Amino acid sequence: MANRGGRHARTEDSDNTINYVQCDGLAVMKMVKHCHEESSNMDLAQGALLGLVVDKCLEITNCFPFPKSGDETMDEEMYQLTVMRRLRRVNVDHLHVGWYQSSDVGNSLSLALLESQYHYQTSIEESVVVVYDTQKSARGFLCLKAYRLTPQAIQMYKDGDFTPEAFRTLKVGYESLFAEIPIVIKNSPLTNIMMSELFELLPEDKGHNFLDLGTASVLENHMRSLIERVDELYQEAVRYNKYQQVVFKQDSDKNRALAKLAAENAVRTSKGEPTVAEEEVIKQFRPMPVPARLTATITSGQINTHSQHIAQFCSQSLAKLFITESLQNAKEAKEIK
Amino acid sequence: MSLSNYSLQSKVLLHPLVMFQIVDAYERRPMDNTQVMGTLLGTVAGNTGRIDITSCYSVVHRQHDDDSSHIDLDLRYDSDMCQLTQFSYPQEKVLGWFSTGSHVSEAAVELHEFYARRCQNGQPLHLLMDTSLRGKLMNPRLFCAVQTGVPGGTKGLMFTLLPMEIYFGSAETAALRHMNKQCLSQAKDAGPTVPQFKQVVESTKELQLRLDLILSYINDVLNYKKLPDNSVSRALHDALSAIPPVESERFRHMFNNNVRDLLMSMTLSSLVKNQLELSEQLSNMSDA
Repeated sequence: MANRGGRHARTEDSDNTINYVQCDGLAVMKMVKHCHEESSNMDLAQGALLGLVVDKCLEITNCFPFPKSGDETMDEEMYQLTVMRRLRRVNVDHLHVGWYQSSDVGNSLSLALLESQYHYQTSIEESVVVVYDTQKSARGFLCLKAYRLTPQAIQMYKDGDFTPEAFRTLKVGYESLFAEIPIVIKNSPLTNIMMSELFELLPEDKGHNFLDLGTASVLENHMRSLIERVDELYQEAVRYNKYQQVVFKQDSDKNRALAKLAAENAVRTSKGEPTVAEEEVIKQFRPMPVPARLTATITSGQINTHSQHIAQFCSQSLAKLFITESLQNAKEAKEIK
Repeated sequence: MSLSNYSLQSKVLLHPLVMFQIVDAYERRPMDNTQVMGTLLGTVAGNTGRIDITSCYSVVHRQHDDDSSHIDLDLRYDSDMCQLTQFSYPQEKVLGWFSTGSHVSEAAVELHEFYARRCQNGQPLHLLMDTSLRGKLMNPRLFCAVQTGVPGGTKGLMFTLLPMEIYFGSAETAALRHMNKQCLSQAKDAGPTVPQFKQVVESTKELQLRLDLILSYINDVLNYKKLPDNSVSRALHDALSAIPPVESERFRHMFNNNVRDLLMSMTLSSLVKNQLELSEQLSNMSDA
């Protein structure tokens, strides 16, 4: 993790718009509510974030959900504008600073996310996407992540050039597509007062379900999606390898034809006939289209986050197991006595 | 209008989000306003009568300095907001209104009449929160108006207090616990979201603290320093007997299996990661 953090710090040096995201408790609670309500009917929840930019910090102070996608009749942009206008009248910050999305483990960094975030970041430079993990949060781990596209990724998407060469020249890798921005939650003093009052009412035994030991199903889910991603990446690799083989074959064919032509031309000149230009032969071999590397890169990114999640998950599960072990040992020691 | 007091029988649950929204609205109130008010939204479960107050929005209004029994609501704003929320949460209906202050204001009668028309059952709920902290606590309270008076004679409205509970969903609880921890540790006034491992470690520490507390209590009782309390010992007994007896053999088996699974997953996932790094390095190598 430290290694990864360092890498992010470096990417942020070149992208100096925002250093961290500060999120209000209100916005967090609203996101939690929306995402869980949508996830109960297996939908993806999406919404807009409102806030303001102070120095290098993006403050998210409010948010509102996008309408359900099933309704085709309404104009989404119009809806957003109306909501923002209404909220403005009750003095809510009306700068649109990004959007949020619910997701299940690690699958969030998809092509669709990249596309939408590209549009956001090109229209509002500071905007972020906040990904909220419903499954993990329901198990007691609050999981909010903020991402931005790196300048390289934006440049790449702007050029629309996803060839391996473009990736190499822009130095875009799976880790430098999205930059994770640290997110902090901060409440106003009055909200803190309210919360300590609320906390008194919170039952002691609630919210500790992250200590559950039955973790096999979770791990299974993690592994399954990791395997799916690896499969996808493998398909991409096969496609790329096939392309390389074809290019190689074409090259050797071309060389053979050229050699043949040179021999023929030598015969022709000795006979005093006009020679055939090499271009004629080269024209016969059309260059193959280079397969885009974007999907592969994104899948790599997903695999990377998956393996991070698994590592995190395993370490905490191990911790829990060792706690139970010591409990069991203590009990056995007592029984022997 | 017959007013059988329906809501006294039904359970009312207040979602914490509403409190967040009210406090935020109060902090963002216009300069010359001393209070905020707005519409409460939520769901009523048909069969159990359970009422969930899930959301709210504040409504633009104007207070009169000289006459506190009147309040000018921006009715268009209210109906607009109501419509907009229907797009994202079609199941939420108007349940009543909230306002801030230490007591039910004189304008409540007027508001009650207005919201009675907006509510489906004609009985709006009134949530009051003391955000000015004059009463030391915010103390969210729920009221419902009951008609009083002699039939045929003068009638009045009486706002009676309704029992209310706060709803804690598991995700909300996680978020609240996290935020509370942050607001208690004032070292840095804001901290990032903690990794899972740390969370487990922290709760283990908490558990240890509690065990120490119980131990000291038990020792005190054993040494006749404290009077034994039967309810406490019963609770302790319940807690102890809640631990399932697991045979040593079976526990070892389970433990080893789990540890092996986890370690294998960790190894595999880091292997995959290394493969990725390798392939990226390879593809970024210049052709020369």
